[in-house]
Amino acid sequence: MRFKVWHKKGRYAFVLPCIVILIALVIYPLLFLIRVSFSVQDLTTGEIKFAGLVNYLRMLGDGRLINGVRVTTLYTVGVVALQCITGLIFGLVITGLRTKVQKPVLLLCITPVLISPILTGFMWSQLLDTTFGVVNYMLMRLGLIHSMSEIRWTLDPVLGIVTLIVVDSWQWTPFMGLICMAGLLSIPEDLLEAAQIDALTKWQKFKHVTWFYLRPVMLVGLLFRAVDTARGLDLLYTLTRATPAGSTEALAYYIYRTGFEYFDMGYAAALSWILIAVVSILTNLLVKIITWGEVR
Amino acid sequence: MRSRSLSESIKYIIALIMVLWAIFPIYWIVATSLKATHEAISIPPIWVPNPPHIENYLNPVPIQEPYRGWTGLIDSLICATGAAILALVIGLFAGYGFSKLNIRGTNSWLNWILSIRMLPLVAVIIPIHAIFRTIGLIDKYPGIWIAHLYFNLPFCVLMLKSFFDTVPTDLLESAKTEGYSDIEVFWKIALPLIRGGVATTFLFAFIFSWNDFLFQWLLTKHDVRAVMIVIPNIIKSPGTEYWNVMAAVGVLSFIPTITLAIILQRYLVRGLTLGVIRR
Repeated sequence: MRFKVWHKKGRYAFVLPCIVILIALVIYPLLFLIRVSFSVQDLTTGEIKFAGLVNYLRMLGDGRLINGVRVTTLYTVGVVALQCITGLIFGLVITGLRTKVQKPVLLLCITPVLISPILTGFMWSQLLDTTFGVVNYMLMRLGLIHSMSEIRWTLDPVLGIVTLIVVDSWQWTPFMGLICMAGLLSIPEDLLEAAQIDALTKWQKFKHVTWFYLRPVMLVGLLFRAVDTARGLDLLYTLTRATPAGSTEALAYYIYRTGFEYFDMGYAAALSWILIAVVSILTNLLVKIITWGEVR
Repeated sequence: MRSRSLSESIKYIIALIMVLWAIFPIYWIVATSLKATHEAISIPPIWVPNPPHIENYLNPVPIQEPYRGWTGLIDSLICATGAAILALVIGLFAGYGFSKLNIRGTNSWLNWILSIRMLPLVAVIIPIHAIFRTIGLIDKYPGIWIAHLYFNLPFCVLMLKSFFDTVPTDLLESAKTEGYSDIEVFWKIALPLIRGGVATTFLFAFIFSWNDFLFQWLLTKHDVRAVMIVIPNIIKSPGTEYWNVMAAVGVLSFIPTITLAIILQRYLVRGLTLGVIRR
């Protein structure tokens, strides 16, 4: 229910500052980004020149771009798949605990979400180090590996992406878990009772009742995760930056390097549009699912 | 009955593993921050530092000139507080408007605002860096405050809108008939009702700002150096072998956010799941 009677124009004054600021923050910089993407800077003179489609044509034969898209895709798909499962386990296990235990357990398990990704990467690069890392030390003590450098978590081209996915899940599983918990709470009680009376097995109950209520919220949560994974680079910056030949160089990180390590702004701007396109597709999916009404 | 208690105990074992999995890395960085330099990289690892080397926090080896651990905390505090207040004030009015004032096209506006929350910041930083350099906002607090609006303003608007949704509209209408002006209804009736929501929103905006890497890394140089960029800064320069000092900076950087979260635990869940679940 919104106001029926309200001062006609005055109400727009409430939202106007926000809209104006957001337009200023989005429209002008994005126009600027288009302009930059059509220009080339001469590194010796610092002069910026219009270069037409040069930056866009460069993308056609760029193996690092293809690699970046590949890494971003694998990383995002991996994160979504793993956190769907771990989030579900998190939610189901914590909901099943007695109230007294539930609160402290939840609080402890949530902590990773509050730590910045840049620090998460640093923490884990220490744990996974191949000379003094605790993880490999434990594996060695358990007799699973023979030398400290046998498993090169962050340095191996293939394992690097898996490590990224697992560490990202260390951080964000609680987020998916909370969403799962909220979904579980939204199941009407009489429905669960009906399931009891109909003597459904646990699996049937999950499949026909629980999952029906969980699916929509989980989907939205996973789309949030997908966008944040595709556009993020903080974790990569401290966790796998040393990986040889950019084998874990996701698109966002490649753009960062092009712009701020090689100072090739024109090309970085052109590359940005690919990332913006990827993220827009995911966001559109999200917007289609979310309803802002007061129904829920 | 026996199978029930068995599945019950499996649940508790999984819960225990989950807690250990979440906490161990955090324990490890705290432990490392209290070790001597050679202890931090020793094999077998030292599980409990004894004696604790507090000097890693107070007067660490000069790996970086000047040491930015503690001053970084102050810079972070100024950046995050300013950024959160700016976004909160604008967001309060907008959130109220979208929730209660029947703005035309509310849903489209909200979708648009959500899509801004999703913009890749690495793309945005390219024009922002150039624009800020032209107008002199590099290495200034207001520069960070403005840049953080990219994620904080959409967050605050959507979050506060969801809190204003919980205020009964009848209440506001009856206040209106009693002669309150539009702004008074907002200020004196609606706002006090969502105090808790405002506090939650502020603290989350604060944490997002505090944890930001990209903007604080690329938009500052010498005058403003948030604690979050001290570690990347050390990694970039010689001194990478001082894991204990870096760990100490890391611990300094998350103590404030974790403390806030403990104070706010009541509201934690709501803030973390915004946009996904509305009630």
